[in-house]
Amino acid sequence: MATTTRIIATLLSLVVVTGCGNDPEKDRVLKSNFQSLRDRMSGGVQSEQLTPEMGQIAQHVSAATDEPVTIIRLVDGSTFSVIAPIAENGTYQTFASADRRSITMQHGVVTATRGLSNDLMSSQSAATGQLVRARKSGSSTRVMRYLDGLEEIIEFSMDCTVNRGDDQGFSGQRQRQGTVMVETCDGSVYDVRNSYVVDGRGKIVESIQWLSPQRGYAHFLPLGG
Amino acid sequence: MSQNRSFQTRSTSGAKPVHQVIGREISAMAGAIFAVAVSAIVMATTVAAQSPVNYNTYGLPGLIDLPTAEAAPEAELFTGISYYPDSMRATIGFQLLPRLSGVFRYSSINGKVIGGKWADGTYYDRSFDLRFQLVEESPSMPGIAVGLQDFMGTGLYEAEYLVATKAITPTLRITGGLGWGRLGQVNSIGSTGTRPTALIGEGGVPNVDRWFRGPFAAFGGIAWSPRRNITVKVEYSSDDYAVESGSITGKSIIKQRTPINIGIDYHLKNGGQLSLFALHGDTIGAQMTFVTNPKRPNSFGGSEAAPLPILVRANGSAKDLGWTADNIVSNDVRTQLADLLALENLVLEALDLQADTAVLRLGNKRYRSISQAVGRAARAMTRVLPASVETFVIIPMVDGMAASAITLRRSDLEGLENAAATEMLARTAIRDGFSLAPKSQIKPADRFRWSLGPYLHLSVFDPDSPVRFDAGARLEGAYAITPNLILSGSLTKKVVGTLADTAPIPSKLPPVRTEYPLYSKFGDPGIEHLTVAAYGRPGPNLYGRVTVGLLESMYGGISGELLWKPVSSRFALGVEVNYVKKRAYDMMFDFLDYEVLTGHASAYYQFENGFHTKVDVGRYLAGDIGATLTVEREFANGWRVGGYATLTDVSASDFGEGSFDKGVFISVPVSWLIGQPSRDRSDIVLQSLTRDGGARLNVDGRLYRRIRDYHEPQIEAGWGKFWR
Repeated sequence: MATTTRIIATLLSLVVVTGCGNDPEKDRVLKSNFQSLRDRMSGGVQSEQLTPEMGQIAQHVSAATDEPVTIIRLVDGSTFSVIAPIAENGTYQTFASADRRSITMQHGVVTATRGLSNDLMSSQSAATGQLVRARKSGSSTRVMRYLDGLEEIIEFSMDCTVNRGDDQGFSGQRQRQGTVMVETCDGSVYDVRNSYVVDGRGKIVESIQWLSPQRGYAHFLPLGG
Repeated sequence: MSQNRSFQTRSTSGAKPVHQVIGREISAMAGAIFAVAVSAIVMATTVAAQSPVNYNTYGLPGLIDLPTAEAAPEAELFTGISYYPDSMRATIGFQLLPRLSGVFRYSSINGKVIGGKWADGTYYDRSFDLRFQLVEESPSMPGIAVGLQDFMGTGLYEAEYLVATKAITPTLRITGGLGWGRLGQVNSIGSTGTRPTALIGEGGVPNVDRWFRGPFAAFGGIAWSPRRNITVKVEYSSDDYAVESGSITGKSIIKQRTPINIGIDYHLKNGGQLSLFALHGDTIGAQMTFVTNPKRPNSFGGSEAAPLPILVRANGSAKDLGWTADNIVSNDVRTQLADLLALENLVLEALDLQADTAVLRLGNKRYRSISQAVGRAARAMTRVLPASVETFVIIPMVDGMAASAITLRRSDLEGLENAAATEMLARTAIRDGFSLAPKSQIKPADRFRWSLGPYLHLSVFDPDSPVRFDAGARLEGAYAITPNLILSGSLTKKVVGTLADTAPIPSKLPPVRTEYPLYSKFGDPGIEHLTVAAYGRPGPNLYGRVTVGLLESMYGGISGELLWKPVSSRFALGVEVNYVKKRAYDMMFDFLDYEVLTGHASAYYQFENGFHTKVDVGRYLAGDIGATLTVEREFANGWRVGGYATLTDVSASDFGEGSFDKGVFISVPVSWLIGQPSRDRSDIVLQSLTRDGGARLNVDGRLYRRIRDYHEPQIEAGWGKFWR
């Protein structure tokens, strides 16, 4: 039918012309839809493989570089990345990956993330950090702030207890030697269990920390330095 | 029963088209399914927030046909289609407030009519429902709600009810209620007067004289959820289906053999619902409901890349003023800052660099959140500006106008980078940007933008056809002759479409809007608009606009506007005057004989919880005088839902069917859909467009909508994104 031909012609020509022009803001939704369609059709999207284990990643990365990078691996197995320190502000250190995702830590305790989706915007965790690094038991309060669906800040306040843990206390495949410290937090909405490995000098050399409701836990392994 | 022509919906927002899938010509039934499915595709679906709400065939929380006293979570948007042979209902509903929900419904029934005006044996009907929850359910009290079903219009589904619902056990909920109208037919137990049958005016007016009048009857049912995602429903319906049984239509599509209906729901993880039901012992039907909520995007807080970290100055470096005499350093700084801002898709339009203060004239076409644009610009400034510069004044520009100037101290940025966002807001000053912005330094070559892409004009839920559309290519461009003087145009070439297939509806008023089929037919290719617009700030708290040229597809002329809005005020006043001539149908440079002076005085007020209200009083395109009330709720993430009504001195009989102009709209920011920053929006407008009364000019660039994002109330509401 003439109409059907015209319709097909329209669709084809629109695929071709979409994005013509010098305005990067126009038709970004369509462009991004076509992009993901193209990816899907050409099999360019990563297939369902599980991320390798921390030990394997650490081996490869250490072999590749001497820089004091940190490996971050999401515990749900969805992704891992290598982040390098890029900025310092007082006691806060910010690390970033090559694709512009960043994590901010205060002496090894995560205080903020950016670009991971459901980002931790800021948090109050100094008291916890002090207990963990001093390898002491005690209690503290943690505050974690996120953006909700309406892009407003919501705060989760949690009562936390820090205790030494045994070998099984670390909630993942431990790569480093040191004292295992476990932080158990009771929040009104979320319960969190972070575990840390602290060396003799009071430095957190490995940790599994909760990032956000959507992302869950991440395993951090600093290399070098 | 006269046909209800009171609603015609347009899925377009004038100059900016809806980004939707292109459709193709389809049969009536599939047409409505298409329209609802398009909304479902546009909506992102996520994991449902709480225990699922069951939706009924009318599109509100309920049993099968019957309502319950339940409400959806606040701000929930629910669309659905229910079908049994020869009858289909498509619905779009929204939980406006925690206790108030509304639904728009488009239904089609196949049947022949003895007398009356039905189209080709298929009867299309549009209806509106409202439900208000009087009492929220609690462990000791049932929930109680009152509802108006199909409360304005021809009343095919007209009913009113009072209903109560209670959970007896965690898995069993009981509902019982009293119904009038359609719900008062079976075994009615009494009567509250007689129910009038004549329409008020020309229809389209709430039938207040019918509500809760006439016979009433009892209805009820139970909903049992043996597992979280399955619900079995049994109900006793007081609706005798007189219309569908043929007593009025002459053809029976369903026979009410028993008042008992049974159904089963399956709830999907994303909150959607699939249902099967048996109606009145006579027929089987199915239903699909999709659910989305502005509070649950796919990506909380967006998934855009990380911003630049703040660069903290070395101790004592702020005292170094050696650089100020050196032009090379200043130019270097300017270039470096421009480059860093470009990485964030921001534009350095000008930079006024002093020893201790820097004023940045900022161009932002990327970020919906002004707070986020300012935050990212501030971060870039800390990385590049000499250490002695302590005060940052950032002025985001709107069409060459400086709306507000945001002042931040560098020491605060350094000290509060990792603190709660509210701490930074407390130390931020927002004031009127009038005369504060340095002159733009953008080269002329960078002031031109053009693009070629698809367009789609949808007209849905028409009395004669569920979907009419035009689609094709649109070439548009804009050139900033000076930052405040913008030449822009848009040309469309239709490739395929059915909007031209109707004849203009006869009107007793000058045909100021009803001739759109002629524009669709002859305006191909057509110039949508070609204008020169000048924007400016006549004085403190004042904003002005003058637009000249082919202002919109049907009118050309001159449009002028003045807005008074102080930067921290919730209140604003505006006045707009337009002198326009009707354009020829070929949408080129010719005009027809009709010319009119239109204009409005407007008052705006923004309430605390995001409710924006606006009252316009003035003269409309047909020369009628009247007023429009618009109420809109804007959420902090940019979602807008609202409605408007216009009453003018045109009588209902002159206006024609529908009686007066009204509409509802939903605007979804693209950034919410894709999780990346964007200033685009996806708009769905349902309005009664067929008539010529209360019609306004569609001119681009109206000031209040553009300016309000840059003022204090909106910047503060969206401050959560400052550090994002």
